[in-house]
Amino acid sequence: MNEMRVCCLLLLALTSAALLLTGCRDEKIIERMGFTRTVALDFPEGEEDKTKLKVTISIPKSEPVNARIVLTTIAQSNKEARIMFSRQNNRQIVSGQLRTVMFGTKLAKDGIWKHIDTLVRDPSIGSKVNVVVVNGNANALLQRTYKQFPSTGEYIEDLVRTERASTEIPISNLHTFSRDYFDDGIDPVTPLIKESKEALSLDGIALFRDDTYVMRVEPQKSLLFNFLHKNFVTGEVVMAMPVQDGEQQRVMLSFVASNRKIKIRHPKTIRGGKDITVNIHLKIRGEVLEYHGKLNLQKSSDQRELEKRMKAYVEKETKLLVEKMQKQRLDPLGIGQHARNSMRYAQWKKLDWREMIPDLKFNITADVKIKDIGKLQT
Amino acid sequence: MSDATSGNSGPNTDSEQFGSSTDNNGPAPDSGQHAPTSEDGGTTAATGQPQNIDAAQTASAAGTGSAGGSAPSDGNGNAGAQAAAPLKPLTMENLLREFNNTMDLKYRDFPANGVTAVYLQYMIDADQLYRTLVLPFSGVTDEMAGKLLEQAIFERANTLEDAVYAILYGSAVVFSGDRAYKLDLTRSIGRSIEQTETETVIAGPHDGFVENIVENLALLRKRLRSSHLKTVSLAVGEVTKTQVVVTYIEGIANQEFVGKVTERLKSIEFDAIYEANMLVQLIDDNPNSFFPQFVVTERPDAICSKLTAGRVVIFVDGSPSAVSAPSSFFEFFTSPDDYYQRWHVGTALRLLRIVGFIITVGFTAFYVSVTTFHYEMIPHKMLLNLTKSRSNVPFPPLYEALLMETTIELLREAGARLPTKIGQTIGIVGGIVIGQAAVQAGFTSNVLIIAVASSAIASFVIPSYVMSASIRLIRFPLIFLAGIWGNFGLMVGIAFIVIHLSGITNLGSSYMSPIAPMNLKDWLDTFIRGPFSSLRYRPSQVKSPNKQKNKMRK
Repeated sequence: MNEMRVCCLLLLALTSAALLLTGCRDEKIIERMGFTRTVALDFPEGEEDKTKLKVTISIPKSEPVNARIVLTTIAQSNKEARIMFSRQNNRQIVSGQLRTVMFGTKLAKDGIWKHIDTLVRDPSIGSKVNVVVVNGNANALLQRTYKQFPSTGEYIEDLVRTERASTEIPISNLHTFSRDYFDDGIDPVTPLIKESKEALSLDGIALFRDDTYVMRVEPQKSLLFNFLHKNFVTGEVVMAMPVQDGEQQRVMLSFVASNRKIKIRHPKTIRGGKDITVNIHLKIRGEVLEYHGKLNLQKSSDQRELEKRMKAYVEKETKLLVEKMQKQRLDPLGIGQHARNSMRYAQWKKLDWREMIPDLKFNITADVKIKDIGKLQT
Repeated sequence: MSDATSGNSGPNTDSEQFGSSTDNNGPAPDSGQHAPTSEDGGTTAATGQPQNIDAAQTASAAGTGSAGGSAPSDGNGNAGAQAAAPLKPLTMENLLREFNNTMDLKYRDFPANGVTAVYLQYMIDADQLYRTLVLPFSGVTDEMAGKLLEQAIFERANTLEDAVYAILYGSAVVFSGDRAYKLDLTRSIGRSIEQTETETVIAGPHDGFVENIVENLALLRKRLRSSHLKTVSLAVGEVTKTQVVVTYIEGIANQEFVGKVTERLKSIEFDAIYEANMLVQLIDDNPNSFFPQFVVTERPDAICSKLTAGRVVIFVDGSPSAVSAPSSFFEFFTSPDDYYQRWHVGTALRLLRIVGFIITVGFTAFYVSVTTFHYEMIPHKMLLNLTKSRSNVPFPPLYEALLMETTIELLREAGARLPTKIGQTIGIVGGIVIGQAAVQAGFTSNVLIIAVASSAIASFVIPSYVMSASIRLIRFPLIFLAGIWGNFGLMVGIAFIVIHLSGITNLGSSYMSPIAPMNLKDWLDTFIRGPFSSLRYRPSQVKSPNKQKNKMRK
């Protein structure tokens, strides 16, 4: 009986607490909210004041389809901009449905960590928010409407998602960006997009040194970058190999699976980057679904020949890419992580990894195999 | 004096024998002697009888029973002791005085030999009366009548109270000289065995228990032909004297539970019992819990499986439901159907019911909490649709949800109260009005309709009607909490339910078995329905002295 009374009292207390505390809850009833879907951050055009930020947000509307509200303001920070937007808008602006954050080139070259930090800190924002760098003006890109496509916010998301699925670009979201930013053996990467006349298009990959955008990988080279960046199981790559036998050779590999192996060799005491040898072995398997050239792919000897040429092509091109990155003191491949794993932590702490990058010795070997030559077999 | 059943050695046929033996059991408010109950089958009937009477006499002499109260209106199965207080001699006059102002009490005398029979006219079978009483006693001498009364079907009635009960339960009391005998002439009253409406199955037996306890026990005996199946009769209800039969399988059921059940039944001091579902609320451990604590079913096959699993089953006269004890929470989610399907299908069905349970309890509450507080959790595309349909609704989600849930409950209750044909109309009208018009009128959002409807449908997946009603009720506090505190409130509510469930005991055993205490072997026959070869042991909850159920696998 006593237990019963305690139980009743407890329930009563809870109910009254629930009722009394109702006034100060942070209710967010959906139809009274405006959900920011996409944010674009950039410096205001034509101003050199680096404390000002031009912010554009895109809020999708339920009706009509693909309609959205686009608001732009100039503020000190992202959060301040949100308050300013709320003043304009009839609904409370919330960022719990944020899907993409875009940075203009100018801002990205100045460093974006403080803006990422704000986003990561906010518990209502998920960690899978896409981070994208715009080659050009981010605000203008978001303000525009692309007639043939869904609303711009959704368009960007779909673009990034599908291209990521075909391994055109690496995964880049708030989580990967902050992880790679804080980890001392790797640098963050993001996709680059640009606007063209009627559409948006991917414009390669942006490579960051810490939080500043320093180098661009062209779209033609992005799959080569991905070979080096990580393992993947699907992808398509066009290899336009140099002229041979008086003819331009062109191979398109489909269903490409690639596997990279990184081995670090170095003496016990490391004096500089020259002491460290990085061996990268790429294992690439794919189907040839398009081939322009003189080789007869029905013959297995010609297939071996093509494999050999592709191998040479991959090795040469990746080497060039790596050298470019070395020059910029960049390590988006995470070589530093492997180097750190190959030595004691105290030793790693003593190294100035960033400064050693240009001197590293890279040996890249590729193993390209044709799995299949397609349906047409005469 | 209370007689204790006995296999009937009379010249009856088999089925009559069964019927009369249990009936005889009835009038006798036999105190908790389990041993002397009928060792049915009529094999040792002749020797069984006197022995049983002795046992019963000692039992009633030792019976405790609260003093006071007039003899017939006092029950509790201890009536024997009461007789000591007023102690009126068993005479015709006293008996008739007991039944004054009773138009349906008749007596019939045979002047040739001075034999008189007293009975309630509508309780007895006139045909049987003619065959066993009128025909043999008409025109025979005193001496012959005395011989006739030595037949086993005539049992001595020793006290006035004994005689009164016998008449009330459908016997005739026959006076001859200064002696009185009871003669069972019960007429079967009520509908015959038919399909249960509350617990239908697709494959499997379609018969269900009925209001008549005689039929029910016959159904049971037909399925469970074991002399170890014991039936103990008790009278419960101070006014109604409802016959309650406790059955169990000796050697499989734990005597501790049998003892607890009979003891609790005997300590009921309540005026009237009409239904098994009512009886269980008088004997369960947690009367204030909103969950039913004993499985109550109308299916004989389910009851047999409960008995063979080592549980104790209680039948109540006048109720088509039988109670099985002890029960666990998850037993309410099982149906005999599970065993009649292939085990994969049975397993899928059980999991489906658990999913149904979760949906019933949580779906609407989750809708409320998400639309009120956690817009982040909604997929973007859905959010747009949701906002669109919500934007016409003037109330916050909490009121919206409570409104719709109440409407659905109204519909359900109206459907249950109305005759089937009108009930269907209600369903159609309600479906259209609630489904279409409410959304168009801007009364609710259409996603809420889906949530409310699917949780209502999911609640009917639960085979036990009582459990499904309880679960439907606990949605309301959860919706309320979700509307006030969001997901946190939902978690608070669920935590309360879990704490409450863990605290419930069932005849002293755990209600949450086999989760707490954990018993993975039992899971094979709880959350999934394992193949029969894997169902090797009886449930741990019943603490059976004979644990092994399946001896085919060594």
